[in-house]
Amino acid sequence: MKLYELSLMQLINLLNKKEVKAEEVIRSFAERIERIEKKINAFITLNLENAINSAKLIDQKKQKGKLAGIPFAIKDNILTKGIRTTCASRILENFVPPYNATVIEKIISEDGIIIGKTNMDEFAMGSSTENSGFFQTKNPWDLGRVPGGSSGGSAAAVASMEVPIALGSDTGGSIRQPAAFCGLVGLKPTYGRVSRYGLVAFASSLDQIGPLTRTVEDCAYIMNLISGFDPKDSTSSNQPVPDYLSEIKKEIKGLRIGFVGGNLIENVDSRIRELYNEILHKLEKNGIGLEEVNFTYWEYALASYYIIAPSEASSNLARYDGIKYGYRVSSYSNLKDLYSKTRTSGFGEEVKRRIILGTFALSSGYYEDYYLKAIKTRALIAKEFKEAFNRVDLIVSPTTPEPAFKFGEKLDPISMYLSDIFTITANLAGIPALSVPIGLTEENLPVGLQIMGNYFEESKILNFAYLLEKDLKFYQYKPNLT
Amino acid sequence: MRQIDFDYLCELANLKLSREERIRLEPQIKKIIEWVNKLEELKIDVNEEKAFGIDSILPLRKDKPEISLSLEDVLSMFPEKERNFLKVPKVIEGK
Repeated sequence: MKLYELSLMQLINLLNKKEVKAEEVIRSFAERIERIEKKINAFITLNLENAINSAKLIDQKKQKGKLAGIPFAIKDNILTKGIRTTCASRILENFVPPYNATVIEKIISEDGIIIGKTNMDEFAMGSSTENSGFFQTKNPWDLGRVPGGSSGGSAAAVASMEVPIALGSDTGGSIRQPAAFCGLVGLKPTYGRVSRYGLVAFASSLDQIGPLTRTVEDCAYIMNLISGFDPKDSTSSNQPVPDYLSEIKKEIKGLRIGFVGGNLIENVDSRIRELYNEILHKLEKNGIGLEEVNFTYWEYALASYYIIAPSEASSNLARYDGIKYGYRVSSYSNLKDLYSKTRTSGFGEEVKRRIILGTFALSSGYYEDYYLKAIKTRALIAKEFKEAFNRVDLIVSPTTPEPAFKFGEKLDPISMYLSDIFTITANLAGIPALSVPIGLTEENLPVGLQIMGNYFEESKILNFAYLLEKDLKFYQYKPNLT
Repeated sequence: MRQIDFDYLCELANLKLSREERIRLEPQIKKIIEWVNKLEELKIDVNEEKAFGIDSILPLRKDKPEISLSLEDVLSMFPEKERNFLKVPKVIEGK
Protein backbone atom coordinates (compact mmCIF):
# COMPACT_ATOMS: atom_id res chain seq x y z
CA MET A 1 0.00 0.00 0.00
CA LYS A 2 1.23 3.48 -0.88
CA LEU A 3 1.50 6.10 1.88
CA TYR A 4 -1.06 8.33 0.19
CA GLU A 5 -3.65 5.55 0.44
CA LEU A 6 -3.52 5.51 4.22
CA SER A 7 -5.93 7.21 6.55
CA LEU A 8 -4.88 9.95 8.95
CA MET A 9 -4.70 7.55 11.93
CA GLN A 10 -2.72 4.96 9.97
CA LEU A 11 -0.22 7.65 8.98
CA ILE A 12 0.03 8.92 12.55
CA ASN A 13 0.75 5.39 13.81
CA LEU A 14 3.54 4.91 11.26
CA LEU A 15 5.01 8.35 12.01
CA ASN A 16 4.84 7.78 15.78
CA LYS A 17 6.59 4.42 15.45
CA LYS A 18 9.20 6.21 13.30
CA GLU A 19 8.59 3.74 10.48
CA VAL A 20 8.30 6.63 8.06
CA LYS A 21 9.55 10.19 8.02
CA ALA A 22 7.40 13.28 7.61
CA GLU A 23 9.27 14.05 4.41
CA GLU A 24 8.39 10.65 2.91
CA VAL A 25 4.73 11.20 3.76
CA ILE A 26 4.63 14.67 2.22
CA ARG A 27 6.52 13.51 -0.88
CA SER A 28 4.08 10.63 -1.38
CA PHE A 29 1.10 13.01 -1.34
CA ALA A 30 2.95 15.60 -3.44
CA GLU A 31 3.61 12.96 -6.11
CA ARG A 32 -0.01 11.87 -5.99
CA ILE A 33 -1.08 15.50 -6.45
CA GLU A 34 1.30 15.97 -9.37
CA ARG A 35 -0.10 12.85 -11.02
CA ILE A 36 -3.85 13.37 -10.66
CA GLU A 37 -4.53 17.02 -9.83
CA LYS A 38 -5.05 17.96 -13.48
CA LYS A 39 -7.97 15.52 -13.59
CA ILE A 40 -9.55 16.76 -10.35
CA ASN A 41 -8.71 20.49 -10.02
CA ALA A 42 -9.17 20.47 -6.25
CA PHE A 43 -6.58 23.14 -5.46
CA ILE A 44 -6.47 26.86 -6.13
CA THR A 45 -3.01 27.23 -4.59
CA LEU A 46 -0.44 24.53 -3.93
CA ASN A 47 2.26 24.90 -1.31
CA LEU A 48 4.30 21.78 -2.13
CA GLU A 49 7.82 23.13 -1.87
CA ASN A 50 7.20 24.81 1.46
CA ALA A 51 5.43 21.67 2.66
CA ILE A 52 8.45 19.51 1.89
CA ASN A 53 10.75 22.01 3.63
CA SER A 54 8.48 22.05 6.69
CA ALA A 55 8.54 18.24 6.76
CA LYS A 56 12.35 18.23 6.72
CA LEU A 57 12.40 20.60 9.70
CA ILE A 58 9.81 18.52 11.56
CA ASP A 59 11.89 15.37 10.99
CA GLN A 60 14.76 17.07 12.80
CA LYS A 61 12.66 18.02 15.83
CA LYS A 62 13.05 15.99 19.01
CA GLN A 63 9.63 16.82 20.43
CA LYS A 64 7.01 16.41 17.73
CA GLY A 65 3.38 17.53 17.72
CA LYS A 66 0.32 15.32 17.37
CA LEU A 67 0.01 16.05 13.65
CA ALA A 68 3.72 15.88 12.81
CA GLY A 69 4.09 15.24 9.09
CA ILE A 70 0.37 15.20 8.24
CA PRO A 71 -0.55 17.14 5.08
CA PHE A 72 -3.71 19.25 5.21
CA ALA A 73 -5.79 20.77 2.45
CA ILE A 74 -7.54 23.93 3.60
CA LYS A 75 -10.62 25.49 2.08
CA ASP A 76 -9.64 28.79 0.54
CA ASN A 77 -11.80 30.88 2.87
CA ILE A 78 -9.63 30.05 5.91
CA LEU A 79 -6.75 32.49 6.34
CA THR A 80 -3.23 31.12 5.97
CA LYS A 81 -0.38 33.50 6.71
CA GLY A 82 1.76 34.04 3.63
CA ILE A 83 -0.38 31.69 1.48
CA ARG A 84 -2.85 33.33 -0.89
CA THR A 85 -6.46 33.10 0.33
CA THR A 86 -8.96 33.90 -2.40
CA CYS A 87 -12.41 32.59 -1.37
CA ALA A 88 -12.43 31.52 -5.06
CA SER A 89 -13.27 35.13 -5.88
CA ARG A 90 -11.67 37.55 -8.31
CA ILE A 91 -12.07 40.24 -5.67
CA LEU A 92 -9.53 38.45 -3.43
CA GLU A 93 -7.49 36.86 -6.22
CA ASN A 94 -4.18 38.25 -4.97
CA PHE A 95 -4.94 38.53 -1.28
CA VAL A 96 -2.17 37.14 0.95
CA PRO A 97 -3.24 37.26 4.61
CA PRO A 98 -0.75 38.53 7.19
CA TYR A 99 -2.05 36.16 9.88
CA ASN A 100 -3.39 32.64 10.39
CA ALA A 101 -6.89 31.57 11.35
CA THR A 102 -6.96 30.00 14.82
CA VAL A 103 -7.56 26.51 13.35
CA ILE A 104 -4.44 26.93 11.22
CA GLU A 105 -2.42 28.04 14.27
CA LYS A 106 -3.65 24.92 16.07
CA ILE A 107 -2.68 22.61 13.19
CA ILE A 108 0.75 24.20 12.77
CA SER A 109 1.44 24.16 16.51
CA GLU A 110 0.96 20.35 16.33
CA ASP A 111 3.36 20.21 13.35
CA GLY A 112 0.63 19.65 10.75
CA ILE A 113 1.59 20.84 7.25
CA ILE A 114 -0.53 22.96 4.89
CA ILE A 115 -0.11 21.45 1.45
CA GLY A 116 -2.59 23.67 -0.41
CA LYS A 117 -5.74 25.74 -0.53
CA THR A 118 -8.82 24.21 -2.07
CA ASN A 119 -11.41 25.36 -4.55
CA MET A 120 -14.91 26.28 -3.43
CA ASP A 121 -18.03 28.10 -4.52
CA GLU A 122 -17.17 31.81 -4.42
CA PHE A 123 -17.46 33.01 -0.81
CA ALA A 124 -18.93 29.56 0.01
CA MET A 125 -22.16 30.37 -1.83
CA GLY A 126 -23.23 27.25 -3.65
CA SER A 127 -23.65 23.49 -3.54
CA SER A 128 -21.50 22.28 -6.43
CA THR A 129 -18.26 24.35 -6.57
CA GLU A 130 -19.45 25.45 -10.02
CA ASN A 131 -19.67 29.00 -8.62
CA SER A 132 -15.90 29.21 -8.16
CA GLY A 133 -14.55 32.35 -9.80
CA PHE A 134 -11.68 30.31 -11.25
CA PHE A 135 -12.51 26.77 -12.42
CA GLN A 136 -14.62 23.69 -11.74
CA THR A 137 -13.56 20.83 -9.47
CA LYS A 138 -14.43 17.28 -10.55
CA ASN A 139 -15.93 14.56 -8.42
CA PRO A 140 -13.29 11.79 -8.17
CA TRP A 141 -16.05 9.13 -8.38
CA ASP A 142 -17.27 10.45 -11.72
CA LEU A 143 -15.38 13.22 -13.47
CA GLY A 144 -18.56 14.34 -15.25
CA ARG A 145 -20.17 15.22 -11.95
CA VAL A 146 -19.79 17.92 -9.30
CA PRO A 147 -18.03 17.18 -6.00
CA GLY A 148 -20.71 19.12 -4.14
CA GLY A 149 -20.12 22.39 -2.43
CA SER A 150 -19.23 24.72 -1.25
CA SER A 151 -16.25 22.80 0.19
CA GLY A 152 -15.99 20.82 -3.07
CA GLY A 153 -12.22 21.19 -3.47
CA SER A 154 -11.59 19.95 0.08
CA ALA A 155 -13.85 16.92 -0.47
CA ALA A 156 -12.37 16.08 -3.87
CA ALA A 157 -8.81 16.36 -2.50
CA VAL A 158 -9.50 13.86 0.30
CA ALA A 159 -11.54 11.47 -1.86
CA SER A 160 -8.83 11.35 -4.53
CA MET A 161 -6.19 10.74 -1.84
CA GLU A 162 -4.30 13.95 -2.54
CA VAL A 163 -4.48 14.52 1.24
CA PRO A 164 -5.69 12.39 4.15
CA ILE A 165 -7.65 15.28 5.67
CA ALA A 166 -9.06 18.67 4.78
CA LEU A 167 -10.86 21.50 6.50
CA GLY A 168 -14.02 23.02 5.12
CA SER A 169 -16.70 25.40 6.30
CA ASP A 170 -20.41 24.71 6.56
CA THR A 171 -23.07 27.44 6.42
CA GLY A 172 -25.96 25.38 5.06
CA GLY A 173 -24.40 21.97 4.37
CA SER A 174 -21.13 22.93 2.72
CA ILE A 175 -19.12 20.22 4.52
CA ARG A 176 -21.76 17.49 4.77
CA GLN A 177 -23.10 17.63 1.20
CA PRO A 178 -19.68 17.38 -0.52
CA ALA A 179 -18.72 14.68 2.03
CA ALA A 180 -21.82 12.73 0.94
CA PHE A 181 -21.12 13.30 -2.77
CA CYS A 182 -17.49 12.16 -2.41
CA GLY A 183 -17.92 9.25 0.05
CA LEU A 184 -16.36 10.93 3.08
CA VAL A 185 -17.01 11.67 6.71
CA GLY A 186 -17.80 15.38 7.13
CA LEU A 187 -18.70 17.10 10.38
CA LYS A 188 -20.31 20.45 11.01
CA PRO A 189 -19.66 20.99 14.72
CA THR A 190 -21.98 22.83 17.11
CA TYR A 191 -21.98 26.59 16.52
CA GLY A 192 -19.18 27.82 18.78
CA ARG A 193 -17.34 24.49 19.12
CA VAL A 194 -14.51 25.43 16.73
CA SER A 195 -13.08 28.96 16.54
CA ARG A 196 -13.94 30.89 13.40
CA TYR A 197 -11.28 33.54 13.87
CA GLY A 198 -9.75 33.89 10.42
CA LEU A 199 -12.64 32.29 8.55
CA VAL A 200 -13.80 34.75 5.91
CA ALA A 201 -17.35 35.56 7.00
CA PHE A 202 -20.29 34.59 4.79
CA ALA A 203 -23.26 34.29 7.17
CA SER A 204 -21.86 34.76 10.65
CA SER A 205 -24.73 33.22 12.62
CA LEU A 206 -24.51 30.01 10.55
CA ASP A 207 -20.84 29.48 9.54
CA GLN A 208 -18.78 26.72 11.20
CA ILE A 209 -15.39 25.19 10.38
CA GLY A 210 -15.14 21.40 10.34
CA PRO A 211 -13.14 18.45 8.98
CA LEU A 212 -13.53 16.15 5.96
CA THR A 213 -11.87 12.76 6.43
CA ARG A 214 -12.06 9.19 5.15
CA THR A 215 -12.87 7.67 8.55
CA VAL A 216 -14.79 8.56 11.71
CA GLU A 217 -11.70 7.97 13.81
CA ASP A 218 -9.79 10.56 11.77
CA CYS A 219 -12.62 13.02 12.32
CA ALA A 220 -12.59 12.42 16.10
CA TYR A 221 -8.81 12.83 16.25
CA ILE A 222 -8.78 16.22 14.51
CA MET A 223 -11.78 17.46 16.50
CA ASN A 224 -9.72 16.92 19.66
CA LEU A 225 -7.14 19.32 18.26
CA ILE A 226 -9.21 22.09 16.69
CA SER A 227 -12.10 22.45 19.16
CA GLY A 228 -12.33 24.79 22.11
CA PHE A 229 -12.67 28.35 23.28
CA ASP A 230 -10.76 31.07 21.49
CA PRO A 231 -10.60 34.56 23.01
CA LYS A 232 -10.30 35.91 19.46
CA ASP A 233 -13.74 34.56 18.50
CA SER A 234 -16.48 35.98 20.72
CA THR A 235 -18.92 33.33 19.46
CA SER A 236 -16.70 30.42 20.46
CA SER A 237 -17.86 28.46 23.47
CA ASN A 238 -15.99 27.63 26.66
CA GLN A 239 -17.78 24.30 27.08
CA PRO A 240 -15.13 21.68 27.91
CA VAL A 241 -13.85 19.60 24.98
CA PRO A 242 -14.15 15.84 25.58
CA ASP A 243 -11.61 13.34 24.25
CA TYR A 244 -13.59 12.43 21.13
CA LEU A 245 -11.19 9.65 20.18
CA SER A 246 -11.82 7.67 23.36
CA GLU A 247 -15.52 8.62 23.39
CA ILE A 248 -16.18 7.01 20.00
CA LYS A 249 -14.96 3.64 21.22
CA LYS A 250 -17.27 3.50 24.23
CA GLU A 251 -20.01 0.93 24.15
CA ILE A 252 -23.42 2.39 23.29
CA LYS A 253 -26.33 1.33 25.47
CA GLY A 254 -29.99 2.28 25.32
CA LEU A 255 -29.54 4.54 22.31
CA ARG A 256 -32.71 6.07 20.86
CA ILE A 257 -32.57 7.23 17.28
CA GLY A 258 -35.09 9.56 15.69
CA PHE A 259 -35.45 9.38 11.94
CA VAL A 260 -36.82 11.88 9.46
CA GLY A 261 -39.71 10.38 7.48
CA GLY A 262 -42.82 11.49 5.63
CA ASN A 263 -42.90 13.76 2.59
CA LEU A 264 -39.28 14.74 2.92
CA ILE A 265 -38.17 11.14 2.34
CA GLU A 266 -40.73 10.36 -0.35
CA ASN A 267 -39.11 12.97 -2.57
CA VAL A 268 -35.53 11.68 -2.41
CA ASP A 269 -33.76 9.58 -5.02
CA SER A 270 -35.02 5.96 -4.87
CA ARG A 271 -31.61 4.37 -4.28
CA ILE A 272 -30.84 6.81 -1.44
CA ARG A 273 -34.22 5.97 0.08
CA GLU A 274 -33.44 2.26 -0.23
CA LEU A 275 -30.05 2.58 1.51
CA TYR A 276 -31.58 4.82 4.18
CA ASN A 277 -34.33 2.28 4.89
CA GLU A 278 -31.78 -0.56 5.00
CA ILE A 279 -29.90 1.29 7.74
CA LEU A 280 -33.08 1.86 9.71
CA HIS A 281 -33.97 -1.86 9.41
CA LYS A 282 -30.55 -2.88 10.55
CA LEU A 283 -30.77 -0.61 13.59
CA GLU A 284 -34.14 -2.00 14.53
CA LYS A 285 -32.87 -5.57 14.17
CA ASN A 286 -30.01 -4.73 16.51
CA GLY A 287 -32.41 -3.55 19.20
CA ILE A 288 -31.80 0.18 18.80
CA GLY A 289 -34.93 2.17 19.64
CA LEU A 290 -36.28 4.01 16.60
CA GLU A 291 -38.82 6.80 16.47
CA GLU A 292 -40.03 8.84 13.52
CA VAL A 293 -39.65 12.53 14.27
CA ASN A 294 -41.84 15.05 12.53
CA PHE A 295 -40.91 18.67 12.22
CA THR A 296 -43.71 21.12 11.60
CA TYR A 297 -41.35 23.88 10.57
CA TRP A 298 -38.83 21.94 8.45
CA GLU A 299 -40.72 22.95 5.30
CA TYR A 300 -40.05 26.60 6.15
CA ALA A 301 -36.34 26.06 6.74
CA LEU A 302 -35.19 26.75 3.18
CA ALA A 303 -37.17 30.00 2.98
CA SER A 304 -35.84 31.09 6.36
CA TYR A 305 -32.28 30.17 5.39
CA TYR A 306 -32.42 31.94 2.02
CA ILE A 307 -33.40 35.14 3.81
CA ILE A 308 -30.97 34.93 6.74
CA ALA A 309 -27.87 33.79 4.83
CA PRO A 310 -28.09 36.40 2.02
CA SER A 311 -28.92 39.14 4.56
CA GLU A 312 -25.83 38.41 6.60
CA ALA A 313 -23.79 38.00 3.41
CA SER A 314 -24.87 41.36 2.03
CA SER A 315 -23.67 42.96 5.24
CA ASN A 316 -20.44 40.93 5.56
CA LEU A 317 -19.46 41.45 1.93
CA ALA A 318 -19.88 45.22 2.14
CA ARG A 319 -16.22 45.29 3.19
CA TYR A 320 -15.10 44.39 -0.35
CA ASP A 321 -15.20 47.87 -1.74
CA GLY A 322 -11.74 48.21 -3.28
CA ILE A 323 -10.50 50.43 -0.46
CA LYS A 324 -8.94 48.37 2.30
CA TYR A 325 -7.73 45.22 0.61
CA GLY A 326 -8.14 42.93 -2.34
CA TYR A 327 -8.85 44.03 -5.86
CA ARG A 328 -9.41 47.64 -6.97
CA VAL A 329 -10.39 48.73 -10.49
CA SER A 330 -7.86 50.99 -12.18
CA SER A 331 -10.21 53.60 -13.64
CA TYR A 332 -13.04 55.34 -11.81
CA SER A 333 -14.51 58.82 -11.60
CA ASN A 334 -15.21 59.14 -7.87
CA LEU A 335 -15.43 57.13 -4.65
CA LYS A 336 -18.91 55.68 -5.30
CA ASP A 337 -17.84 54.73 -8.81
CA LEU A 338 -14.77 52.96 -7.39
CA TYR A 339 -16.95 50.95 -4.99
CA SER A 340 -19.47 49.81 -7.55
CA LYS A 341 -17.02 49.14 -10.39
CA THR A 342 -14.75 47.11 -8.09
CA ARG A 343 -17.64 45.09 -6.69
CA THR A 344 -19.38 44.57 -10.02
CA SER A 345 -16.27 43.25 -11.76
CA GLY A 346 -14.89 41.44 -8.68
CA PHE A 347 -17.93 39.38 -7.66
CA GLY A 348 -19.43 36.48 -9.59
CA GLU A 349 -23.11 36.11 -10.37
CA GLU A 350 -24.27 34.00 -7.42
CA VAL A 351 -22.59 36.39 -5.00
CA LYS A 352 -24.29 39.35 -6.66
CA ARG A 353 -27.61 37.51 -6.55
CA ARG A 354 -27.30 36.91 -2.82
CA ILE A 355 -26.07 40.42 -2.04
CA ILE A 356 -29.09 41.93 -3.84
CA LEU A 357 -31.43 39.47 -2.14
CA GLY A 358 -29.96 40.25 1.28
CA THR A 359 -30.10 43.98 0.60
CA PHE A 360 -33.78 43.56 -0.20
CA ALA A 361 -34.55 41.55 2.96
CA LEU A 362 -32.82 44.11 5.16
CA SER A 363 -34.10 47.22 3.43
CA SER A 364 -36.49 49.64 5.07
CA GLY A 365 -40.08 48.47 4.81
CA TYR A 366 -39.17 44.82 4.25
CA TYR A 367 -37.06 44.01 7.30
CA GLU A 368 -39.97 42.93 9.50
CA ASP A 369 -41.69 40.84 6.87
CA TYR A 370 -38.54 39.08 5.76
CA TYR A 371 -35.50 39.13 8.04
CA LEU A 372 -37.39 39.28 11.32
CA LYS A 373 -39.86 36.63 10.21
CA ALA A 374 -37.01 34.36 9.12
CA ILE A 375 -35.27 34.80 12.48
CA LYS A 376 -38.48 33.85 14.29
CA THR A 377 -38.94 30.79 12.09
CA ARG A 378 -35.41 29.82 12.92
CA ALA A 379 -36.23 30.00 16.64
CA LEU A 380 -39.14 27.61 16.09
CA ILE A 381 -36.91 25.17 14.22
CA ALA A 382 -34.37 25.25 17.06
CA LYS A 383 -37.17 24.73 19.60
CA GLU A 384 -38.45 21.68 17.73
CA PHE A 385 -34.97 20.17 17.75
CA LYS A 386 -34.63 20.78 21.49
CA GLU A 387 -37.93 19.07 22.12
CA ALA A 388 -37.01 16.14 19.88
CA PHE A 389 -33.71 15.67 21.75
CA ASN A 390 -35.68 15.21 24.96
CA ARG A 391 -37.03 11.98 23.45
CA VAL A 392 -34.18 10.75 21.23
CA ASP A 393 -30.38 10.89 21.39
CA LEU A 394 -29.74 11.46 17.71
CA ILE A 395 -31.73 12.18 14.56
CA VAL A 396 -30.86 10.68 11.19
CA SER A 397 -31.83 11.62 7.64
CA PRO A 398 -30.29 11.25 4.21
CA THR A 399 -27.61 13.96 3.81
CA THR A 400 -28.80 14.88 0.33
CA PRO A 401 -31.95 14.25 -1.70
CA GLU A 402 -29.89 12.89 -4.61
CA PRO A 403 -26.35 11.72 -5.35
CA ALA A 404 -23.74 13.93 -7.08
CA PHE A 405 -25.31 15.62 -10.10
CA LYS A 406 -23.77 16.46 -13.47
CA PHE A 407 -22.11 19.77 -14.31
CA GLY A 408 -24.61 22.33 -15.56
CA GLU A 409 -27.57 20.25 -14.42
CA LYS A 410 -28.88 22.87 -12.00
CA LEU A 411 -28.88 26.19 -13.78
CA ASP A 412 -31.91 27.55 -11.97
CA PRO A 413 -30.78 28.93 -8.58
CA ILE A 414 -33.81 27.56 -6.71
CA SER A 415 -33.20 24.00 -7.91
CA MET A 416 -29.65 24.32 -6.55
CA TYR A 417 -30.94 25.71 -3.23
CA LEU A 418 -33.25 22.70 -2.85
CA SER A 419 -30.26 20.37 -2.59
CA ASP A 420 -29.69 21.81 0.92
CA ILE A 421 -33.06 20.62 2.22
CA PHE A 422 -31.67 18.11 4.76
CA THR A 423 -28.60 20.02 5.90
CA ILE A 424 -29.68 23.62 6.53
CA THR A 425 -31.82 22.94 9.61
CA ALA A 426 -28.70 22.02 11.62
CA ASN A 427 -27.14 25.40 10.74
CA LEU A 428 -30.31 27.28 11.59
CA ALA A 429 -30.56 25.52 14.97
CA GLY A 430 -26.78 25.60 15.58
CA ILE A 431 -26.63 21.87 16.36
CA PRO A 432 -23.82 19.50 15.27
CA ALA A 433 -24.39 17.20 12.28
CA LEU A 434 -22.23 14.72 10.43
CA SER A 435 -22.42 12.88 7.12
CA VAL A 436 -21.14 9.33 6.98
CA PRO A 437 -21.08 7.24 3.78
CA ILE A 438 -23.52 4.31 3.75
CA GLY A 439 -23.19 2.88 0.26
CA LEU A 440 -23.09 3.41 -3.47
CA THR A 441 -25.76 3.88 -6.14
CA GLU A 442 -25.91 1.67 -9.27
CA GLU A 443 -23.81 4.35 -10.97
CA ASN A 444 -21.13 3.95 -8.33
CA LEU A 445 -21.86 7.27 -6.62
CA PRO A 446 -21.53 7.55 -2.83
CA VAL A 447 -24.53 8.12 -0.57
CA GLY A 448 -24.36 9.78 2.85
CA LEU A 449 -26.38 9.45 6.03
CA GLN A 450 -26.73 12.58 8.13
CA ILE A 451 -26.56 12.19 11.92
CA MET A 452 -27.68 15.20 13.95
CA GLY A 453 -27.16 15.59 17.68
CA ASN A 454 -27.99 17.95 20.51
CA TYR A 455 -25.76 20.97 21.24
CA PHE A 456 -22.15 19.98 22.00
CA GLU A 457 -22.96 16.27 21.67
CA GLU A 458 -20.48 15.60 18.87
CA SER A 459 -19.27 12.59 20.92
CA LYS A 460 -22.62 10.84 20.60
CA ILE A 461 -22.73 11.51 16.85
CA LEU A 462 -19.19 10.26 16.32
CA ASN A 463 -19.79 7.25 18.53
CA PHE A 464 -22.82 6.19 16.48
CA ALA A 465 -21.09 6.98 13.16
CA TYR A 466 -18.17 4.79 14.27
CA LEU A 467 -20.58 1.94 14.97
CA LEU A 468 -22.03 2.26 11.45
CA GLU A 469 -18.58 2.52 9.90
CA LYS A 470 -17.39 -0.66 11.64
CA ASP A 471 -20.31 -2.47 10.09
CA LEU A 472 -20.29 -0.93 6.60
CA LYS A 473 -16.54 -0.38 6.12
CA PHE A 474 -17.16 2.13 3.37
CA TYR A 475 -13.56 3.39 3.57
CA GLN A 476 -12.54 0.27 1.65
CA TYR A 477 -14.19 1.69 -1.46
CA LYS A 478 -12.11 4.09 -3.45
CA PRO A 479 -12.79 5.98 -6.65
CA ASN A 480 -11.06 4.55 -9.70
CA LEU A 481 -8.70 7.26 -10.92
CA THR A 482 -6.12 5.34 -12.85
CA MET B 1 -46.38 41.49 -2.61
CA ARG B 2 -45.06 45.02 -2.87
CA GLN B 3 -43.09 46.20 -5.92
CA ILE B 4 -39.37 45.60 -5.89
CA ASP B 5 -37.28 48.54 -7.05
CA PHE B 6 -34.40 46.61 -8.57
CA ASP B 7 -32.33 49.68 -9.48
CA TYR B 8 -32.59 50.99 -5.95
CA LEU B 9 -31.42 47.64 -4.51
CA CYS B 10 -28.39 47.61 -6.84
CA GLU B 11 -27.65 51.19 -5.81
CA LEU B 12 -27.79 50.24 -2.11
CA ALA B 13 -25.58 47.21 -2.76
CA ASN B 14 -23.04 49.25 -4.75
CA LEU B 15 -23.44 47.08 -7.84
CA LYS B 16 -23.71 48.28 -11.43
CA LEU B 17 -24.99 45.33 -13.42
CA SER B 18 -24.50 45.02 -17.15
CA ARG B 19 -27.62 44.84 -19.29
CA GLU B 20 -27.21 41.07 -19.80
CA GLU B 21 -26.69 40.45 -16.09
CA ARG B 22 -29.71 42.52 -15.22
CA ILE B 23 -31.89 40.60 -17.70
CA ARG B 24 -30.84 37.34 -16.02
CA LEU B 25 -30.76 38.42 -12.37
CA GLU B 26 -33.88 40.54 -12.02
CA PRO B 27 -36.44 37.80 -12.81
CA GLN B 28 -34.41 35.25 -10.82
CA ILE B 29 -34.39 37.45 -7.73
CA LYS B 30 -38.11 38.15 -8.06
CA LYS B 31 -38.71 34.40 -8.32
CA ILE B 32 -36.58 33.71 -5.22
CA ILE B 33 -38.47 36.39 -3.28
CA GLU B 34 -41.77 34.78 -4.29
CA TRP B 35 -40.35 31.44 -3.17
CA VAL B 36 -39.32 32.72 0.28
CA ASN B 37 -42.72 34.39 0.63
CA LYS B 38 -43.78 30.93 1.85
CA LEU B 39 -43.05 32.32 5.30
CA GLU B 40 -46.19 34.45 4.99
CA GLU B 41 -48.16 31.27 5.76
CA LEU B 42 -46.68 31.22 9.25
CA LYS B 43 -48.31 33.20 11.99
CA ILE B 44 -45.75 33.39 14.76
CA ASP B 45 -45.27 35.22 17.96
CA VAL B 46 -41.80 34.57 19.29
CA ASN B 47 -39.58 37.08 21.04
CA GLU B 48 -36.67 38.00 18.82
CA GLU B 49 -34.16 37.67 21.65
CA LYS B 50 -35.06 34.01 21.97
CA ALA B 51 -34.34 33.46 18.31
CA PHE B 52 -30.90 32.06 18.73
CA GLY B 53 -30.72 28.37 19.53
CA ILE B 54 -27.73 28.19 21.84
CA ASP B 55 -28.29 29.13 25.47
CA SER B 56 -24.65 29.11 26.59
CA ILE B 57 -23.30 32.37 27.98
CA LEU B 58 -20.62 33.84 25.82
CA PRO B 59 -17.51 34.55 27.87
CA LEU B 60 -16.30 38.13 28.12
CA ARG B 61 -12.71 39.32 28.18
CA LYS B 62 -11.13 42.24 30.00
CA ASP B 63 -11.25 45.51 28.08
CA LYS B 64 -7.50 45.62 27.73
CA PRO B 65 -5.58 46.39 24.54
CA GLU B 66 -3.57 43.50 23.16
CA ILE B 67 -0.83 43.27 20.57
CA SER B 68 -2.38 43.42 17.14
CA LEU B 69 -1.03 43.26 13.60
CA SER B 70 2.13 45.22 12.87
CA LEU B 71 1.95 48.31 10.67
CA GLU B 72 3.86 46.42 7.99
CA ASP B 73 1.27 43.60 8.01
CA VAL B 74 -1.62 46.01 7.73
CA LEU B 75 0.10 47.91 4.89
CA SER B 76 0.66 44.64 3.03
CA MET B 77 -3.12 44.28 2.57
CA PHE B 78 -3.74 47.69 1.00
CA PRO B 79 -4.52 47.75 -2.71
CA GLU B 80 -2.77 51.13 -3.06
CA LYS B 81 -0.47 52.87 -0.62
CA GLU B 82 1.93 55.77 -0.30
CA ARG B 83 4.56 55.65 2.44
CA ASN B 84 2.62 54.52 5.52
CA PHE B 85 -0.74 55.62 4.19
CA LEU B 86 -3.67 53.87 2.60
CA LYS B 87 -4.30 55.64 -0.69
CA VAL B 88 -7.94 56.36 -1.45
CA PRO B 89 -9.67 58.44 -4.12
CA LYS B 90 -10.57 62.03 -3.41
CA VAL B 91 -13.66 62.09 -1.19
CA ILE B 92 -14.49 65.79 -1.25
CA GLU B 93 -16.28 66.70 -4.45
CA GLY B 94 -16.34 70.12 -6.14
CA LYS B 95 -13.75 72.79 -6.91
